[in-house]
Order: sequence, then structure tokens, then C-alpha cells
Amino acid sequence: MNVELISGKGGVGKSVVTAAKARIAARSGKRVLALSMLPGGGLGAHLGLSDVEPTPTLGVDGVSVAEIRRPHALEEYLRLNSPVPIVVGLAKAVTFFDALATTAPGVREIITIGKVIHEAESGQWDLVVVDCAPTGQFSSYLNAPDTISQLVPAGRIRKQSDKIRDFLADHASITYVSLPEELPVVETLAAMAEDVPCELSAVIFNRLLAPLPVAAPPGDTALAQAAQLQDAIVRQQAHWMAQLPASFYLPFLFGASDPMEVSDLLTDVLEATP
Amino acid sequence: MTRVVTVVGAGGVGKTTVAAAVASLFADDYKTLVITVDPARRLATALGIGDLSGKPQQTGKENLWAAALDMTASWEDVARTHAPEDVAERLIINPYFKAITKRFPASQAYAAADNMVSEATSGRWDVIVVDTPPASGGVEFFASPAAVTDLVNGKVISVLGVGKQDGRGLVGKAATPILKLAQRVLGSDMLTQLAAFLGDLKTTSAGLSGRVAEIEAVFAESSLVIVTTFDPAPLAEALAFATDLPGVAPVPELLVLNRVVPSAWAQAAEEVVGDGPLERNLRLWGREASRQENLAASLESSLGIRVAEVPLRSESPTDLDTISQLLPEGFEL
Repeated sequence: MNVELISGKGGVGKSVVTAAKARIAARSGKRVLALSMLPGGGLGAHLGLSDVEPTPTLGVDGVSVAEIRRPHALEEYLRLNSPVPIVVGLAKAVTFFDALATTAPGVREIITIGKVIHEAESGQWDLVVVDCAPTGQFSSYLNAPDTISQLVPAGRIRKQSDKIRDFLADHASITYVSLPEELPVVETLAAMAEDVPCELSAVIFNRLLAPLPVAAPPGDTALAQAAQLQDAIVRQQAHWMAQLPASFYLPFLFGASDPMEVSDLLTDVLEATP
Repeated sequence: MTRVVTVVGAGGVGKTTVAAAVASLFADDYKTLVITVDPARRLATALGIGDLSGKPQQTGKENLWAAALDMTASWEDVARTHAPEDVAERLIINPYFKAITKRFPASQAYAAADNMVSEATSGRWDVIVVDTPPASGGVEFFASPAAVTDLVNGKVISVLGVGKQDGRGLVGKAATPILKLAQRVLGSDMLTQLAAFLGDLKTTSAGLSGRVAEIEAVFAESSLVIVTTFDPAPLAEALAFATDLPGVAPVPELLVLNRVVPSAWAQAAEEVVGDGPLERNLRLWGREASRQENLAASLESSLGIRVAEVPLRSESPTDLDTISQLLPEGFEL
């Protein structure tokens, strides 16, 4: 396996988990690319970079960081996939294909997933960790090869999509990040119930509260109320965690807002988990 | 005239619950409909109805009605309303139609907008509260009519030569270099099928552009509420809504901060004496309270819009009474 896909409902902490996994692998000496599937996410900030480019930039712990931008990925795709030299201007072709990619089902997704695979096959990386689209949209990426197969009986894009399906099955695994709350758990279960074309690696619960070692006192002082709230949330979290077996647990970080502080703390927790 | 309130925000911030709370408040005085998108079953139960469907249903509260967005039906409506009958039937069974209406980025957002306008012009309601689809929140919702117009009239159609040969073919244009490239990369099968489909879809163009104008007119008159929590991703999205919404969206009227830790805990944490588990717990919550307080203050001053705070609860509300009491005392819109 040299591609790890990190997905989950929006806002559950996919980017920081992607960063943590990339950092742990890089610390053990691997050549790692952390790749953001959608532009403008929070991945760079968790790896010490203020800007992420379509070409890899070096972040903390020696992790290379890049993001997929469609015009850029499209240009690369056209250069790699055109059987003959492109005679029209590349810029013009990219503009047309971009319009096509938002219209034709599966094309945009094939180009994006194709870029992930292109990086994984380049020989430059031991591991590519991908900060994926939220579960709701991600299934359309994972299922793009099937969408194409149903719509197109033959042709180049069909061959390409078959290749992607095989690659996902042989070289990629998926990790779901979830929160111990109703909607993220329901959405993760729904995503896992779908026919996912790659191996399941792990489920990670983020933002856990620790049970208090003593009973919460009654009353309405701040001390009592904070303990009552902690107790009530811990009970709710236990209820939702019981619905979805997870392999890793990450704590809620009270008062933390700096993305690097969050990344440092959660990388250490994840690295220390057997 | 029906008043329309649109509620935008990232997924998972409690947007649906806030929309229900706002609707419930209006329902004290007006006949109100809340349109929700893919709600948790628990919300339907809390509203006092078994299952939300596309058809408005009365909830446990007299003047409060609720409907869920039925996306497939909305797109079939677009085809049936705006295309000639035989073309509409052909469109609805076309695999591209199904695939595109399911996955075209603005699809769900457009269906919600279309639905909203049908109800707003029905004359049945004093107030409609719309809970927008989460995908990319408000931006996508307000941009969806333009995106759908682009799909129906767009660049791909002109390059593929749709409309030139009875709207059904690639002939004539097939010789252009760009189309040759497209055929080599994608295969001609896909392009031919796509051209046929887009040709059918184009018949909806005239009717659709009238509808889009109608939708954008309702947008312009609506009240916009942004919901966020203090998590970094939703906060970044909320800021984007406040600053980058497309021109057709109205100016945001209110920012609802959800899951707020009582600000008094920040002070209490500083004053508490001792180092037992309860004191340490209060100090943790105090740190979170002061982080939120600082963020709320900087949001209010940088955005320049009114802020309403909804306190953190251990679970989402499970009955109408609790939902109605979520919004702070004196809440006004």
C-alpha cells in the first residue's frame, strides 16, 4: 500500500489527520507526499506552510505538500494522455476540458484521482497521504470508474478508468475520520456500507472528552456546571462511539486554535498509539 | 408577500437545527414553512412528524410546517416544466441526466433554490426558512442558478456544436482540432452521447432562464443568516460567506455562533483554587471559553454584522419546545 486516503464528513479533522500520518511516516525515514484533493483546505497550515502549490513544497518533518488544482492537473493529464502532440494551444484545450469536466459525469473525478495515482507511480514517494473530499462527495470520486463504465462502453477514458479501479484495489487504503456525534457517525457508516473499491485501513475518532474520575457535583456554580457538561458529553460520545468500531482516538484540545499546535499535539498522540 | 430566510453554513454546525429554531420563532405569529435538506431523522421526530417528505407537513406546532428537499423530483420538474413533452420523457430516462442531476456540483443547491421559489410564490406562507445544502454551503446555493444556466447554455454545448444540426449531432464541428483532441482523449462514444443529451437539455433553456431570473429575484429580497461553530473549518467558511458571496446573494443580517461555552467560565477558571479533577476540568473549559470569546469579538468587529449565540449542549434537541428555546432571549430577525 503506498496511497492512504483520508476521508470523513466535513469539519471532522481530515486535514490534521492527513498531516499527522504524513509526519509520522516521514519521521521514520520515508519519502512522503501529503496531497490535498481539493484546493484551499487546511492541510498546509498543519504542516507549517502558509501556501500550498500544485507542485510539492517542503513542510515540517520533511513532508512534501501539494494540492490538486484542476487546470493544472488537467494540463498534465492532457499532456500525458494525448496520443498525438497537441496542435491546438494547450491553454485553449484546458479551458474546453474544464467545461467538459464539470459537465460530463465522472471526468472531473477521473482527472483528480488520476493525479493521485500519477504521483504514487512516479517513484518519488514511498507514501502518498491524501486529504480527500468529504465523504458525501468522495464516493463520487471513488465510484467514478464505475460511472464511466456504465456510460461509456469503450474508448480511452474507459481504459483510464479501468486502470484507476485496479490501482485503487491494489495500492490504496482508506481511513475514515469521524466525531463521536450523531451525524458524523451516521455519515461514516453510510460511506462504509457503500461498495468501496479499496481496502479499509482504520476509523479514527477525533475530539474525545475524557471521563471525570469523580462524580459531577450538583449545583449551578461554574465548577459544577462544567463537570455536569463534561459528564453529559462523555455519555453522549460513548453512545455514538459504540455504533462504530474505531482503531484510534484523538482528544479534544481545549482552547487550541493554532493549526501547528493542534498538528504537533495530535501527531504525538497518534505516534504513541500502538 | 412571503418573507424568505436562508440559513447558510458549513456541514455539521447545526444549521438544520438553527433553521428549525428560527422557523419555530416566526411560527409564533406567522404561518411558516421550514425546508430542510437531508435532515437527521431525529429532527423530524423533534418536529413531531414521522418522516419529512417533499410535501409540506404540519408539525407539532400549529403554524409551523416542514418539508424536506426531494432532489430527483425537483430535476424531473425542471425537465417536465421547461422541455417539450417527448424530449422531457427522453431526458428523464437518459443515464447522463440521472448522473448529472446526481453529481453536478450545483445540482442539489439548484433543486433547493427552485423548491424555495415554488413555495415562496404559492401564496401559502407568510415566512419560509430554507436550510441550504452543506456541500459548499451558501456560496454554492446562491451561485447555483448561474451554474445551471452555464450547464444548459455553456461552452461545452457550443464546442460540441449542439443546436447546429437539429440539436442532435457532432457533425460539422467534428473537424475542429479541439474536438479531435477530445475524441482522442475521451473517446468519441462519450462525446456523441453527451452531445445528444446536451441537445435535449438545451430545449429547457428559454423556460429555465425565466425561472433563474425568478429565483435570483427571491434571493435578492431574502434575509441571510450565517451559522458557524468555533471549529476552524466552519469558521473559515463562515468568513468566506460573509465576504465572497456572489452578487445575487443579499447582505448577511445575522451570524449565529453555535455551541458556545458560557463566557463566565473563563473568569471562574482563573479564580478557582485547588488542583483536583473538578478544578482542572473547569480550567480546561475556561481555556476554551476564552478562545471562543476572543474569536467572537474579532468576528463581530471584522464582519460588522449582528451576532447571536446558542449555548453548547451535550446533545441536539429532541423536541419542539427545546428547539424553540435555543435562540437567545430577545432574538430578532
